[in-house]
Amino acid sequence: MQLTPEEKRRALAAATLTLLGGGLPSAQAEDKTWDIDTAVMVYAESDNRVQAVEPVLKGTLNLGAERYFTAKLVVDTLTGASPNGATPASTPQTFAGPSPYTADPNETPLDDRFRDTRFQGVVDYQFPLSDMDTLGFGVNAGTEYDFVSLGANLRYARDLFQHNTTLSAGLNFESDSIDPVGGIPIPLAVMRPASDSDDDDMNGWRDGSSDSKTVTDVVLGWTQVIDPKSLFQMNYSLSRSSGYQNDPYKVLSVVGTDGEPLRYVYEARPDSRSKNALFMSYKRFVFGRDVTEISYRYMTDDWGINSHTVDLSYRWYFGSAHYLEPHLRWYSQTAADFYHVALDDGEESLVSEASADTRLAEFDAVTAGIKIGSAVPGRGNWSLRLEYYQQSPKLSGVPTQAADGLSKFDLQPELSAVMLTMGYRFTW
Amino acid sequence: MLRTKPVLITAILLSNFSLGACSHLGAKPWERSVLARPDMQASADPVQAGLDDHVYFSKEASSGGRGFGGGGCGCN
Repeated sequence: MQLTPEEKRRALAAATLTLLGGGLPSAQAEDKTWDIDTAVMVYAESDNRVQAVEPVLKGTLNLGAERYFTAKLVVDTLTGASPNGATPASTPQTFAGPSPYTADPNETPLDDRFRDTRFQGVVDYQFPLSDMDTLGFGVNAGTEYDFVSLGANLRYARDLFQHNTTLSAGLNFESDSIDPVGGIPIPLAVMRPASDSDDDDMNGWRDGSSDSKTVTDVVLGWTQVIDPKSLFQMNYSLSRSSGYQNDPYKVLSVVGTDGEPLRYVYEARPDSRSKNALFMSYKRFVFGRDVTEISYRYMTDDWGINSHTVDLSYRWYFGSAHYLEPHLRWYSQTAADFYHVALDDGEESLVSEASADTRLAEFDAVTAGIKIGSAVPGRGNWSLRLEYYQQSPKLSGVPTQAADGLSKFDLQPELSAVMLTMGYRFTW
Repeated sequence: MLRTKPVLITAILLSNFSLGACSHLGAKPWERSVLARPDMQASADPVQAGLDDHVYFSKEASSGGRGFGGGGCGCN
């Protein structure tokens, strides 16, 4: 079958847009058409922790001559409770703030004030410079109650060897500002006592200001057509983040030898982070009908975190235009050098960096899911996906003097979540 | 070790697939009908991939790989 130039380019130029998590629309028409891609994700963690509803609307306008204009809007509504970093205690624990909250005995303290709505918008334009070269650029903006993010990116891709090889390079710059309730806490300063609730100026425990960070990402990509039925992709990415890296709502417990809390201190992370990642993916059309993909990512950073991610999916077509797609993802990370479950009495004055954020702890995670959908060319296509995610932490960063005292508590409970995603994609 | 096992399996699978195809690397222009399928694109469902990236960015210490790693989000 002789393909049109449009189809030939589609087969390879996808690498350019994937740098932005983009992807070419399925519309084949040369006329100006909109490819509308919509989805809603419902995310629910166990034990009444974070619940989120996240609708996405993305429209790609095919301007002809392989020029694409894309606009995307994401809304993310979050409620629920999130661990604040403190360890359980034998007695109720009350945490200060504009609206104090209390954790029951032996329970992981959860900050139940977690409530936010995030809006994110993306505008993007991609066009060919020649039959071999594609250029794309985009801007994005996101706002939350206490957070604003602005970003811009530029991508270039060049096809070689009869479009069998695509080399690409992308640069992304992001500027974030954070303005937490009550201002930025002073790292490792003691959280004011809950009994001091009429202390509006926080007595210096929070300095009342906002802060910012910048993130620069570089991604170099290589996409190779292996044969008429398979594709290999490899990306190297470097990400450098400078500025405020702390979570202003996270604390650490300073505990006595009996494991009971004496006070809480705000977390302190380094003021920069460099991440390197290598990503590989292999995609193959099998049995003249199905599509399977395997990918692997290795990430390492200068906080001491290394991670491995393996992702497997198999799209099995049944009937004329419907598929069932099982998916498995396995993830494992080591802890950050400055991760501590809690600190021994006085240790907060000996360390310069410390965090009890479970996302910086050592853990494994598994995602298992199944998706069902339709794939009829030129028609609206729907999909429904159900996934289960579970994190299994490994205990690390236990303070030495309090190790016995803390052993009576469940210091790093498992996290599980269910994700349901509904999608509908059509040409307009 | 539990951590290295899936990595090793992935590496072996990837190298097998790649080496087996070395003698006929690539596809001629008239052999591209499969590669032009929407489900054979490097990112076949970018909206869903974006939702996944956002979840994992807010729950894990890693991000990016397939694309840019910045989240534009205060969730991590």
